[in-house]
Amino acid sequence: MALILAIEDEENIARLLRLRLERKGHQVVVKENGPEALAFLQGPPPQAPDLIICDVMMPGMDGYEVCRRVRALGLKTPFLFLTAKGQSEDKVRGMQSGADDYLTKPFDPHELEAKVEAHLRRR
Amino acid sequence: MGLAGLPLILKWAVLGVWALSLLVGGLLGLLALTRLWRAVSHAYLLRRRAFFFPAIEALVMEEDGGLAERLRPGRWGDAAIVEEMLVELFAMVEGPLRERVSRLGEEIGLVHRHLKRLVSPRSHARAEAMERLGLLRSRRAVPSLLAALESEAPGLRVVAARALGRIQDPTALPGLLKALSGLPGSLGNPVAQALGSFGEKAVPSLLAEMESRETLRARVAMILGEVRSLSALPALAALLAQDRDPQVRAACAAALRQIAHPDAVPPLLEGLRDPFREVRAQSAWALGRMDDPSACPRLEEALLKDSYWWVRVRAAEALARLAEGRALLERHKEAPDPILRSLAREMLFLAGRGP
Repeated sequence: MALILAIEDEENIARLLRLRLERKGHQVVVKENGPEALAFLQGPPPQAPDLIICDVMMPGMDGYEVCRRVRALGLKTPFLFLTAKGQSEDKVRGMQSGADDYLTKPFDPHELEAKVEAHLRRR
Repeated sequence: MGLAGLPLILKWAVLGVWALSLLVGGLLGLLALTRLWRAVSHAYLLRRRAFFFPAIEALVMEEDGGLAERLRPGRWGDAAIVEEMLVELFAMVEGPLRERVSRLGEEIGLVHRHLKRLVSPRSHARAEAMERLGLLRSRRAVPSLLAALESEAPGLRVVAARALGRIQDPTALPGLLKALSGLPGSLGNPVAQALGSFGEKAVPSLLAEMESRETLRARVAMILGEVRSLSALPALAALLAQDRDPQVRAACAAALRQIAHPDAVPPLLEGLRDPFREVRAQSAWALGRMDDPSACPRLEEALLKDSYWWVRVRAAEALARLAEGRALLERHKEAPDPILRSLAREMLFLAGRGP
């Protein structure tokens, strides 16, 4: 079982992530925005999830900034972006900010599960 | 005491105040009733959503057994509630789950409800039905929507095109391509967007259309750019070099900018020498997206010598995106030509501010 942090402000997508990943036996913690997620990571007690899934477009702090700050904390956790479909520049920017992979919304839940498992295998 | 003893003017005043208070009281009562109705219907809606929620979760988890029965609308308002929940799912999921949601919409009668409304004598009811069928991604609705694309008024044809773009059934491509040429001016844009939403699936048909119909080439080139189709790159490069129509050549350069592949650099460098200024401007702009320093000398030449100011702006902008280009712009910061000097300074300043 892995601890997965999902940073997503859209309630429906957060619920979808939780349902699909908990079914696979993972523990999913959902945070609505970047500051909440960073506070969760920094603790107390400090948390080290096995994987982070993060939306790009969020009010306040966007996904790129969250990723940069996560990396600045020294965490090497696999980081997966959720981007809007067709925004290829977003994908490049996401990778440059320290992410490991991305999924475009709307996404195939099977692809989500496969990517999550692939990254968790490499831990 | 009655009004009998009062002077006439006072009688009228009392009656006026009475009538006014009745009116105000009535209006306040109506307002209160409206608010109460809204609160009650909202609470009902939430209750019904909660009722259907376990079935929606089972659908998300791809569980089997009785989902159509559990989601079939039973009470007043259920159809709209379940439909909204399925539409929300479409916005989130792709692949087999999306197909399953689409089939479920048909099984529980939501699609049938809207198909019946497509023959309504009221045009707004037909428009709404088309919109909902598109949102429900109903393949069964494709023939009816294609018929609407031929027979309806231009405004409704646009709605039908948008719905077909959402459903993305390949059988709709010929009809949409036909509509692209049949709709005037800006009304064709939603059809172009609908074709673009098919992505790579639409590319072979779009390329064939570009080959056969000269009048649609510019518009099709723009769609291919939106799709960012790599397989369309050779055709776009060939048209940029050879097409007689400068609008087509400019559209091809713009499409190559969106595709942003290194193979587009040689045709775009040639585009900088095109006799039509918009083609040169689009080519310069596109070269800025290619991340290829070999384009810098020709971009600098355009910046220094092009006869049209907009081409110079685009060339400066492109140079500012490349490290080698910024070094060239640095050299022109103190140039005697005031346009060159200000372009170099402005683009370097903007480049320093980052994206």
